[in-house]
Amino acid sequence: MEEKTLIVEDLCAGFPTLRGEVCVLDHVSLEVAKGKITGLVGESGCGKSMTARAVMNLIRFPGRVTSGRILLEGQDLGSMGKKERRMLQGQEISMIFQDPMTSLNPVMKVGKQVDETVLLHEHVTRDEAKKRTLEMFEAAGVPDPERRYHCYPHQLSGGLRQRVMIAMAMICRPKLLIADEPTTALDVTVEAQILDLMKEMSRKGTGILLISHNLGVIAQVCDDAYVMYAGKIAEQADICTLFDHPAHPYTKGLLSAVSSLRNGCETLKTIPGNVPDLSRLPAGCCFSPRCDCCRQECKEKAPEMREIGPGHSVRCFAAEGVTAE
Amino acid sequence: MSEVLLEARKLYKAFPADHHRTVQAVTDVSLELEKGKTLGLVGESGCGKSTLGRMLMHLIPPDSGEIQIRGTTVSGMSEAEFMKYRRMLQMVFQDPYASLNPRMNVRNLIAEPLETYRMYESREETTRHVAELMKTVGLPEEFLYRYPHQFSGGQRQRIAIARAIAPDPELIICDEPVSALDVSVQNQILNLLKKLQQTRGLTYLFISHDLSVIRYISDRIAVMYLGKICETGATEEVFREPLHPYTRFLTASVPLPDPHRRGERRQTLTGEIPSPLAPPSGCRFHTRCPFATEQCSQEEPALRQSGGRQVACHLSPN
Repeated sequence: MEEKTLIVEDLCAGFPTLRGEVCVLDHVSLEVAKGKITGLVGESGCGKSMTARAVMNLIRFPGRVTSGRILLEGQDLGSMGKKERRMLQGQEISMIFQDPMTSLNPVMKVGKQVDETVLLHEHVTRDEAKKRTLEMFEAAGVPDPERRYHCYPHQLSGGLRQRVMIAMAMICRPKLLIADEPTTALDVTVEAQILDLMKEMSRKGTGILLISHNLGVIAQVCDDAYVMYAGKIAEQADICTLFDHPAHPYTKGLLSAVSSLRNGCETLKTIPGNVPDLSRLPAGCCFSPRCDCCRQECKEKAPEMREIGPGHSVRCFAAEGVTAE
Repeated sequence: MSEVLLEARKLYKAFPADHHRTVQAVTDVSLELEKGKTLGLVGESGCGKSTLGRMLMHLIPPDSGEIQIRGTTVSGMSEAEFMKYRRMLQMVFQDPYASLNPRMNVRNLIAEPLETYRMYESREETTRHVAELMKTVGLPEEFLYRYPHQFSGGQRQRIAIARAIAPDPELIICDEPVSALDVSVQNQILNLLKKLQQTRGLTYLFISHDLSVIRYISDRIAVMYLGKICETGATEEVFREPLHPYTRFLTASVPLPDPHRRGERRQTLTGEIPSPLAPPSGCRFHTRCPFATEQCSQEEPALRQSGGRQVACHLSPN
């Protein structure tokens, strides 16, 4: 049995609104294995980033986690005190965001910002911290680390800023790294470099939860993946099963949309309709209004996750597993 | 030979920056837009593709160079003189959250261009035509009096497209029109744009950084790097056999949605686009190019014709 870095069980989160509590995460369960990259994929508003924020305890008031457990190497984060949990972050769990410009302090040299992380979590001197930062810059592929150490964020390009963010996230050798759309703001040639860097980090033993809407990125670097739709996990499988034998109609729709674009079909495949409003979810399966194999049963009750193959689960009544060859 | 709708010759545009420096946004760019066809303009951020689009739209004047519409020079015209041509050119922007006035309802948003060009006599007639346009772009007529915030991103982009086609233009400049949308919705919009092109004979200049989108929609493509065009050609030819090293790396960098083909790409480019404040001497790509020679760092390669294609590289065979 492989070691699990992160286990999320039945996580629910919601926001109170005038129309009642809107449930943004509905019994989300997922696992990130040690040294592996786990993908979390879905369209905007499906709850990918909320899941990440819940794990990092970053959901803003009035939003709140209503139930569920988050375990980091077996340690329950929910039962911890605020201070204790705060110290864990940056050291054992860290996160990088889509836009590195807004997550760096614009009036502080980037080197100092990375030093700060080490000084906060470990008993080291300033000199040692600087040495560690420079080593980490080197490892994160920041060219000419000594010079970049004294740069301000605006003096660096987008790719370099993201490398600095990765250096900052990895400097205390965390067990878990959450990367929320880390390459979405970057150009393709730079994206490829950053993805390579993330793969290298995972090989050193860090479990990575990679959040992306880009199926290409997911296919290239992840070992396992979860597909989310309207606050729920819709399908979960290892990466090859997911792309070769997608079982949920939503996953199938996404994949055929992407492949029809690549193969230059005359009319591109689409998923009809739009992502539903979370405060007005349809009865039964929340994908049913857009699903082309929707049955009566789908409109009446919501399907549960069920296993249809080894390590392959899906939230759909109609889905069938692949019979073993 | 098909008809050339718009032609740009040797366009230059620089913007002033701090410390008396200038940003060379567009340098020596020439292109032709054939009627009824799509030219895809592709490149990374900051390469000058949006600036070029805006110059062709007459939104910013070029420093030098010439833009002709059907053989008439329009660059340098005053806004009043240009008014005749303005109706022929329309634009669709990337962010449908920013490009629609939040205080105008859909009827007024789409009617605005119709009223500007006084296309219909009465208010009723205009509204009737707005409803027709909404049907064309796939929006239900009931939404006539709704406001932009009541729509999703895809629907807003449909409104923006309805506005663009309202005055019956000939050319639409699409500046990253699907980049802010999710895949399933992105395909809906691309299908719509293609359908409109077929039914209305529209010409598109399609600006995007997304190579799979560009490949799908374009008949020809032009690849830009640091303000210059480095390669042009028929879309399939360029993708099948890229001549410029930058195009080769660009096409190879796209992450394929297929986990079985991981080993295949992985010839990644090092470094990033240099600052347009101080573009490198010689070939602008030589600082990142693994094949660069002494000549590349000194001499700037000209865009040379080879067959139906153009490439600006010292190393490409004739």
